[in-house]
Amino acid sequence: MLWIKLVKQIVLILQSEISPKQVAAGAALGMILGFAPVKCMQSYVILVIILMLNVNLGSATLSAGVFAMLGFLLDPLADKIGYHLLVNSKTLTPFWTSLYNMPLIPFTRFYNTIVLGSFVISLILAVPVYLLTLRFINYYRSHFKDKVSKWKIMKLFKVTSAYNVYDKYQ
Amino acid sequence: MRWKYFIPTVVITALIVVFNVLFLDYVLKLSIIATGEMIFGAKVEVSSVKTRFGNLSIDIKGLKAANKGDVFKNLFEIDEIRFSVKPAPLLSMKVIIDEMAVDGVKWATKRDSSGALPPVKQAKYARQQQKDDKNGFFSKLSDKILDKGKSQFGQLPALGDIKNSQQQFKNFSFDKAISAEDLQSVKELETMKQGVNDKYSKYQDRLKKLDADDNINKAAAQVSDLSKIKVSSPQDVQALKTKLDGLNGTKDELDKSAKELQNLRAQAESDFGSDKDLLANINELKDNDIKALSAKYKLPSFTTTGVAGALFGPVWLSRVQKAIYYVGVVRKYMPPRKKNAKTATVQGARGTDVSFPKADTPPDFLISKTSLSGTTGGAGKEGTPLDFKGEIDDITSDQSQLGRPTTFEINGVMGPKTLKASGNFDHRTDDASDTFNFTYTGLTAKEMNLPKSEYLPSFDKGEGKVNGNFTMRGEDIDASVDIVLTNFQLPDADKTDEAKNIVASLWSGIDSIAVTAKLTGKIDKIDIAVSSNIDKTLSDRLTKLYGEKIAEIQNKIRSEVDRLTNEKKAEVTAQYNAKRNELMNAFTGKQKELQEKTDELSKMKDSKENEAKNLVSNAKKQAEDLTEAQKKQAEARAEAAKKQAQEQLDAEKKKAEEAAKKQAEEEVKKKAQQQLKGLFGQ
Repeated sequence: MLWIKLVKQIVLILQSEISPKQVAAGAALGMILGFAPVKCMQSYVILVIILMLNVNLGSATLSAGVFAMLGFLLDPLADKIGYHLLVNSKTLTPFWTSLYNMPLIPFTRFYNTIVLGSFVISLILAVPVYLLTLRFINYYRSHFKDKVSKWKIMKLFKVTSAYNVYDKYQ
Repeated sequence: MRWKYFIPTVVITALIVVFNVLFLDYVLKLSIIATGEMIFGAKVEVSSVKTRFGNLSIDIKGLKAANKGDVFKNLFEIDEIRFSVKPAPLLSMKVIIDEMAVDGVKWATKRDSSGALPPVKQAKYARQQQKDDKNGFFSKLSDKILDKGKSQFGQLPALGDIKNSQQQFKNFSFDKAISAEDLQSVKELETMKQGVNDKYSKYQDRLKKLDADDNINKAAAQVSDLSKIKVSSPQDVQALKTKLDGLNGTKDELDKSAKELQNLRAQAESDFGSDKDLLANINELKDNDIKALSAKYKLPSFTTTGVAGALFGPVWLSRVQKAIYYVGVVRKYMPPRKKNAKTATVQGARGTDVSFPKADTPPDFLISKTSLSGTTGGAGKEGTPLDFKGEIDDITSDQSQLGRPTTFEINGVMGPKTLKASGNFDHRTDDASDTFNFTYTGLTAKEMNLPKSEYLPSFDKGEGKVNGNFTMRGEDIDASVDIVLTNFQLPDADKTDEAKNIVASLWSGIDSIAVTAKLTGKIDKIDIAVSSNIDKTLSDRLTKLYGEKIAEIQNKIRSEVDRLTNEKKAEVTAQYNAKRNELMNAFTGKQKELQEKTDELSKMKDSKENEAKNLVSNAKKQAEDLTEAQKKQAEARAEAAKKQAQEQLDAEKKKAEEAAKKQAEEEVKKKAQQQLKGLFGQ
């Protein structure tokens, strides 16, 4: 079941020795990737950034998946934000006009209300997600890591290749 | 930086690019098929797609779109489409094509296999189309036209029943009189009568609820009150002022009541309308009653308009519905834009796409010039084909940005046949206008695709001409077609085949058919008229075929319906006039009363104001007189004081002069004494 896999992935990341900052950065970038639509240029650019930078790929993948699902629920809010920025804010019209007529920029589909709204939401949430993830990981590792590592299920995880792969995501 | 991922990323990107380059043709082909199936709701086939990156050209061969209304025919097929896309605008997601060549256009060609989509796809595209058609305007308009046609165009009875009917109605008589309760028109008139009563009651209630009476009474009381006040002192003026302020307030309320009354009267006049509006639909209902009674007594009906409508109407309407559908498609992909709008919004599957066109830049999609060639022939078609050529200019997603409408012109000549078609699709403002015309001459009778009916003979020879016009401005539609068929040869009578015999007798002596069909109006009011030069001839012959007895029965039904409805009509009209007049008289009376009270109020106000003004001016004059007297007194006193002062001054002066003179004399005397002393010494 999907939610069991999600929980497993989260626990494995938390239990590993990967740098909390890398995990948090991966989560933040993954969130931006999750909110971005698949067939747009920015998805590819963010993916390349995630691959190139020293961020945790596991947390980025997990975060992208979770926020992609959440993105659908936030579509009405994103649509309103995007509509307000694109249509109602007349002062921004010259800016959007110059962007719209530039080369390559239209491939980001920024002129779609949901795309722009989702992007704005992801930018607003990027720093809070990074900080909260960082804090959570530090808190977890200082208070729960040892207890959880003694659970029987963790012993089962450790012998599977999945755990080893996660350890390699450094 | 994770440099170890750099090479895999580059490799994967390169693989994606190579995949797209290698399989672009296939991907494009699939896209064309998917898009075409969504637009046309039927199978779309493409033989091949070839792309060349050198000049960004695309070559599409063997494009066929099936007709969803007739799945074993193609809606159209095109042998080849060739064009090149300009490279620079592609970077800004703009597809600009300077020239496109479309060769081998054909339509209504035969298919070897069914062009119907699988049920799942059909349902999916139907749902998508319903969603895209924002308020379903074009589908609603199409349905309205179909319903109107069904109610307007009756069906002619089967030819085979003619002889039976003659026998059936030979000894026919009405078993009982036609009852008024059975007639829709009488019921509608009763409803109208009730409607008039209801309107009358409604407006009477509203008239009573207006504050007019209260305000009139209030004004009367104030006038009476004011008339008792006598203005005799300045204190009275102050009290009067308070009363006058109250009076002004009442006058304002009277004016307000007068205005409300005027508005209510205007509403009532509009609501009641005229007696012509009241009875506008009655004739149509009467016709329906006659049809219903004819059906009840199983009588065939051959009005002159009914024959032409029954024969040619349904086919004509199906052509108009198709035209409306395609206008809807054109308006969807070339949406009209509000005048002076700097942006345009298009609702997508997710969210809204907002475009920001810059002045003097091309629109997102543009095909400047399309050269067209094709033929009227093709698989499964008979007759000599006609080759045509033409041009379509400025196919674009944003005509406002481009500044020009989309136009097309097609011409073809082959021997006696000519085809001319032209069109103009102007969506530069939100009041879109779509027009197209065509003239096709030199057709054979078979090529004209006349409707199939057992009443129409198969026209073996003959020449035809079709002239059609279609205009849709905003939501107003105006479509017409003229069909002329001449020099046709009718089949001979066949004594062994009753039906052929009847048809031959119906058409004997007729050597030309001219049909005119017209459809005008808006979605809430559509008018359809179909007529032909042979309506009366066919109608008379059909009536004769069915026998005079039937004509007699039909006339009797008509006169009975007329009698019953006329009685009711007179009742309703009398009721309407009486109630309307009564109501208007009530309005007039109330308005007169209000006006009289307002005038009385104004008169009293003016009178009292004058009284007060007079009092004030008198007091002022008195004060002025007093002031004048006081002024004169003061002047006199001043004059006296001045005189006294002058006298005093003169006395002082005289005194001073005398004193000076005396002093001078003393001095002279003294000097003289000194001189004398000096002379004579002491």
